Amino acid sequence: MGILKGAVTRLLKLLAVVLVVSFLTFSLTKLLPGDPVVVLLGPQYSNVELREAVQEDLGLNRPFLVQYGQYLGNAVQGDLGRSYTSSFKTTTLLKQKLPATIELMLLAQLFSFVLAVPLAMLSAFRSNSRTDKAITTASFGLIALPGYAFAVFLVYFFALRFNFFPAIGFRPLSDGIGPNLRSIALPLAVLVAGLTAVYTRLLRSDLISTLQEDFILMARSKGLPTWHILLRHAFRPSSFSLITVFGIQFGTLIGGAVILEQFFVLPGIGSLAIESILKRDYLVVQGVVLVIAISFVLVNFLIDILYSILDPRVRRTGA
Amino acid sequence: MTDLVSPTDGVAITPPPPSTESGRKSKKPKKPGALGVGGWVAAIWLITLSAGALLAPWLPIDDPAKTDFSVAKNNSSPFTAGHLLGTDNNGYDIFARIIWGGRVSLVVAAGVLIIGMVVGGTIGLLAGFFRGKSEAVLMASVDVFLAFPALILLIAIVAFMGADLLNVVLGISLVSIPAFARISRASTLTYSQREFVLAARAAGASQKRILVREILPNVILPLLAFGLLVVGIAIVAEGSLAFLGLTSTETISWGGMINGGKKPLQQENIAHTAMIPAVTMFLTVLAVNLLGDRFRSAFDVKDSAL
Amino acid sequence: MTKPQATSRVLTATSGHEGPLLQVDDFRTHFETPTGIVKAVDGVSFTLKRGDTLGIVGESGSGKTVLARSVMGLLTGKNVIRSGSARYNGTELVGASESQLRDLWGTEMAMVFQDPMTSLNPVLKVGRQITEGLRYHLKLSKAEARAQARQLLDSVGIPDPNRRISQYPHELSGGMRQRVTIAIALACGPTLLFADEPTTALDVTVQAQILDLLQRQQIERFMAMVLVTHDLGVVAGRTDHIAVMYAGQIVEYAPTRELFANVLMPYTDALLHSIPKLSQPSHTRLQSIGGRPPDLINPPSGCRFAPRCPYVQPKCTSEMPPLQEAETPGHFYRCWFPVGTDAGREALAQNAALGIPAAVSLTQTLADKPGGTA
Ligand SMILES: Nc1ncnc2c1ncn2[C@@H]1O[C@H](COP(=O)(O)OP(=O)(O)OP(=O)(O)O)[C@@H](O)[C@H]1O
Ligand code: SF4
Ligand SMILES: [Mg+2]
Repeated sequence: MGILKGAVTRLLKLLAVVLVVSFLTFSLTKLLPGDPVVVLLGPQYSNVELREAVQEDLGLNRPFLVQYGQYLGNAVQGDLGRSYTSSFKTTTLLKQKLPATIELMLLAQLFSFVLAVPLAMLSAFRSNSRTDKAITTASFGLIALPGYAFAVFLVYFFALRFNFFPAIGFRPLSDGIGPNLRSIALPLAVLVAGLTAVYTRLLRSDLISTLQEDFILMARSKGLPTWHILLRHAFRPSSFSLITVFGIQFGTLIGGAVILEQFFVLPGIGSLAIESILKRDYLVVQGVVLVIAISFVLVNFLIDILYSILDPRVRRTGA
Repeated sequence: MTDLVSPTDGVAITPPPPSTESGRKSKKPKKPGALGVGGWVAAIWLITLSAGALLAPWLPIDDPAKTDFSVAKNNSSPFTAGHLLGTDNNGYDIFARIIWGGRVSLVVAAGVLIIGMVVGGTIGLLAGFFRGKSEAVLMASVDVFLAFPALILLIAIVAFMGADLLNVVLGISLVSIPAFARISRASTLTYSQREFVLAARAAGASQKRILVREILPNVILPLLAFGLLVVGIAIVAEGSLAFLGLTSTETISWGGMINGGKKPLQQENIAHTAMIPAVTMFLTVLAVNLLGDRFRSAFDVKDSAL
Repeated sequence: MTKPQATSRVLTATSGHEGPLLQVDDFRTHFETPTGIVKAVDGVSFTLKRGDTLGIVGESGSGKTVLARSVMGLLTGKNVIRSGSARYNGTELVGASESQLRDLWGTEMAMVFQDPMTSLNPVLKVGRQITEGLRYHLKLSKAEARAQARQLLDSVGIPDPNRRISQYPHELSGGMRQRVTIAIALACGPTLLFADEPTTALDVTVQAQILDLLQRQQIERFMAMVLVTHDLGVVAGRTDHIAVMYAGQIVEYAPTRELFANVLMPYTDALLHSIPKLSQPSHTRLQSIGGRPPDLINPPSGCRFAPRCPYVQPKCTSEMPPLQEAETPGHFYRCWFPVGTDAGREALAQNAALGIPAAVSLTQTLADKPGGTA
């Protein structure tokens, strides 16, 4: 029941976060210069009557808070409004663009987690060995490597020199798994390299301190095999900061994939964000931010629950 | 604790990757302040770049925005006559542009470091010292901020406010402030409980005096350590904007150069135009991170403090 | 170097190996550190047979923990240098591979650590921490292992083992946790148990209970036990022999009764005078001996206790006294001017006359206490 109460409080807090984010986005798009009606009407903007009619129609001349309330009310019912520039609904656009982004993000997270855990264990268990130094150095380098710079290398070597992968473009899953995976291989590699480096370093340093704990010595003195000690005794207590960062990366990845999506011409949510920002297509921008904030909040809610499963001490305090 | 460098492109400014020296004490602990070979190379690289950037107008290099018609074609390879690193697709000298591009990185690095540290540091210091409502507000805004896609915010700011360097610096600084604030708050909290602060309190020192004399000097170190990491991120973030073509094409920057190199790379199979600025940026961020790492181990700033 | 042979009676245990269960010979453990080589254990020899308990006593930092862990082979850092010999049942442990050692850990030898707050894994249930060894070594099924774990918990005096088995360490009290670690150590039926200050971190009221538990188990299971402590009072009634350690060396070794009756080494004498009274808090360490423990990187050239010894004479600082056997067979000591001998009395008197503070205060203490050792 402690868990349940904690979960509810937490959920309410996260809901508040989403609300504040949506409010801020809404106000920002209002505050920043650039009137969507200009975009809509083009040269006809100077026609005052027409302009006011459109503003009336879009509800743009009502008080700010009323506008926000309406937006929120509709949003709760799954209506995020229509794009000013195309006649599409925001939700339609989002549905179109989300699959590529989500696929990329999920695969990147999966691969980097699966790679980072054994690498970190290897590194931490034999800390200061050659293997450890190689792993630490490589991850240090990869962290300093900007994604787009890395993308340039990869495209040059794998797409242009050797033609292993297409340099740009996206094939949806409906085209078959093979072509789909090939089309996202390079951006995926960029993401995985960076994330693996971050996770490896994080887990390695926590593992190293855990491995010095008395309970590890105790486990060793029981004569348990090394893999058992690493997996059962050391990993779990060392995984907390890894998991926190892992959760945060979900948010960062959805929003941060912009650059890779642009470079590799992927129809993702990041590209959608940029396009609509440049076109002053506020409702779409708001929709994108809202989706990102909600997914971030949800993932982190799940991470919190995972936290309390992993650490019984958290469970008791109901944090 | 969280991680600073987003592999996607570094705009999420959340706390940093652990230093190599963390955890077990390494066998031969470096002397405090010792840079090591890597550290020296990094320092020399950064000093050279900064000097080049500062002195660019007076250096005997080509005009970075002048097409060299004497060379047969644009995008000529490195080591062609008169162009150490070749020319780009406008026929501009890449070497000169790398040096000039360093100016933007330098301005961004310094600007973000100063604004982020001063504004974020102060907010965190006050929140951590006076606790109460200001702290609650700070922590709540950090929560909100984390859920807010930073890069999109940055793009929006630049897109709406105009893409001049000042707005870029302000935008990146804005995005970095919550992280600075959080770190400064955390250090303030720990130091407020230390004996010397309690002693000062007991001795009747004023709040202001305690804050400025006892706490601030101790908070500065972790803040600076974090600042060094942010410098790397800021450089990458500015590059991202330029790479997306959102900053002014008049401004010479490494990100813009990589962006300009995209076309030759993807269409004509010419790599050096994009590769040279990409490598330069990589080495620069690497050097900054390395120095940050050395800094943290020399001053024994715990990663957990970040 | 002479080694104590006091325990080399014929082994009664039914083991293939004739001779003591544990035979440690000129055993050393040094650490390479940036500032120099720390000689934490420096030439220790003793033997221990099944069914016997050896108490190892010494101040904080004298190398007791390092000795116990190193004999067992638990110290694996790259900077650890082990030399000499430590034989378990005839098997040489120094230089044995980790996998050879692992075959002995848990099943042949086990250890109870000092602080039960930190020696249990906080994220694993108590039951799991007991059963994992059982399942791995004895290949028990899950159910068998659980049943066994309940029995073990019961035997170490934990009430309601059924409930405790599915609790986490943080849900147990300190004494309870130490009982759990004892149950874990005993799980696979070891014949040699190291207990490294098993009660130092506990409440005074619980200390005696835990020590009684260890003693009872040691007798029931006919184990050999090494009981490490910094408190001579703890070992008084519970060990067969006592080895007193100072700066990585054994400075006195004797059957327990003999040692208390007939202290020879001034350091042991000082320890005896500093046994904490019951009224003192349990964590009181042995600080009542003046001066600081020696530098283990550059130990004093002669007797390592010389800088703090009330009996010290010029000879002590130039020549290291050997570990020699006293008139009473089986009593070994490392001193030029032993307590209670004429030479010792003379040395002390001389120092007191010279006004050396340690000597003066010791003389005073002895004068206050008519039945004093001197
Ligand atoms: N890994 C190591 N590296 C360097 N020195 C070490 C290491 N482990 C222990 N030492 C040193 O060895 C000496 C003996 O330590 P040890 O822990 O054995 O003392 P102890 O007798 O158990 O004391 P206590 O009563 O405090 O437990 C100490 O001076 C300690 O600093
Ligand atoms: S009398 Fe001499 S030899 Fe004996 S303990 Fe004292 S200093 Fe060491
Ligand atoms: Mg100890």
